[in-house]
Formats: sequence, structure tokens, C-alpha cells
Amino acid sequence: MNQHNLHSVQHGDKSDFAAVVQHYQTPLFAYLGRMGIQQAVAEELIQEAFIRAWQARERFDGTQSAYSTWLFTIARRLTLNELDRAARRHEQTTGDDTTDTAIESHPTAAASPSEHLENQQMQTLLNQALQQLPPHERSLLALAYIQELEFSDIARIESIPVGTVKSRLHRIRGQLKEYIRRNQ
Amino acid sequence: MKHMKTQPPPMTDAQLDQLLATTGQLQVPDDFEQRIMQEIASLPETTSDIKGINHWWQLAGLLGAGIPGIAQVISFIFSIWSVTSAG
Repeated sequence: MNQHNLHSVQHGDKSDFAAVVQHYQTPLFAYLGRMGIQQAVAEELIQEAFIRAWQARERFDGTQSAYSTWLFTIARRLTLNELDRAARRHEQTTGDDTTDTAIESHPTAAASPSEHLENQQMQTLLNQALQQLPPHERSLLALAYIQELEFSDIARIESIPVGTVKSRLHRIRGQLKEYIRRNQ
Repeated sequence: MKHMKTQPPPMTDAQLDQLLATTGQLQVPDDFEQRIMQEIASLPETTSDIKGINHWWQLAGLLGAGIPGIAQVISFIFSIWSVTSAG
């Protein structure tokens, strides 16, 4: 994604915006997947994020931040709002304060049955551990696995200093490892 | 002798990364880009588009009213000058 494309997008070029969608759709789906959002909801949220990015294209300031930062900030806000709404819906129906967003896992390579079982158990534990994290911490962790984003970008998206991003990530990863170790 | 339960070894960062890399993978639908572009095409004109059109009308209005206005002022000054110089 180059400056020329973004400049054209700001001036209303829809074909260049299609290139933007093409470029960012995969990382956005990866982000929402790690946030525990289901496929159908993720499609709606990402579509909404792109539409908002298009409608607000003139407000994007390339001197202040990268386009990825701006787009992920929009997607993050929509996702946290959705998780908040889901939690309230869940609270109203069950009286519980946890959401039932299930995080699906996909084993990477062919493994033996015992390895596969072990991998599944680890995934289940990881999913449980992830669901214990508050949404903003899950978001921070999910952003850290997006290749396009540097620590400085994550800091801007989360509106916290870079040092805080690193220390929080270290703590969150420690929590996940500890949860898995205790429940293994 | 008291039986000691063996603790599993702590998970390494690489193991956690590997697990997280395969967690929560969603699929990008094949027609996703087209769906978004169709949605965008169906949107009403944004204020910026309208602003762009308005900008040209404003310029035309300014020129249409400004030029006769300036001509009026010049002719007024000229009439004063011609009366005073005729003495």
C-alpha cells in the first residue's frame, strides 16, 4: 500500500480503495479471530470498519499515523463495542458476566493422533485462558500478532505508551503460560 | 515416602507463539472485497463529495457577483472624479 494509493483514496478513488480492502482484509480477520469473534460477526464488523474508513477518508492524516494504525483503531473500537454489547446480552440472559465467544483453533501440520490430541488440549486451555482476559488485553495480544504493526503502532491504537505495550504483553503472556501450566 | 506430583515443564515463548498463531483463524470470504465495494457504491454521496460540487458553485457565484460589484465601485469613483475635475 503506497502513498499514491492512499492519496487517491482520500480523493475518492474507489478502485484504489478496493486495493486497500484487498490488502487489509486478511490481517483484520486475523485480529478479530484472536479476539474471539465468530466468523459471521467478524464479517459484519470488518465490513463496517471499511465503510467507516471510506466515509471518513478525508480525516486520515498520513503525517500523524500509518493507514494500518488508523484502520485498526476503527476496527478495535467496533470490536470492543461488540464485545461489550455481547457481554451485556449474556448478562441479561444468564446473569453471568462472561461472554461466550468461542475461539476456534486450526492445527497447522499433520500430526500423529497423540500429538493431535495433546495439541487440542493445549488449544482448549489457551482458549480458556484467553477468555479470562479482559477485552482490551485480548486486543493488545491480538494486535501483537499482526505483522504489519510495530509496537509504536500498537501503542497508538491502544492509546498507551510503547513501554506499557511491552510490559503488558509480557504480563499477559506470562498469565497465559501460567494458566496452561496450572491446568495441564 | 511422600509421593511427589511432577509438574509439567513451563511453556516456552516459542510454544506459546505457535499456539497463538493457530488460534482463532477466520476465513476471508472469496467475495468479501466485492461485497464491500458494492456496499460503498450504494452509499449516498458523502459530505465531502457534496462539498466538492458546492465549491465550484461558490466560486461561480463569487465571480458572478464580484465582477459587477467591482465595476460599480470603479464607475462610482470615476463619476466622482469626473464631477470634481469638471469643476
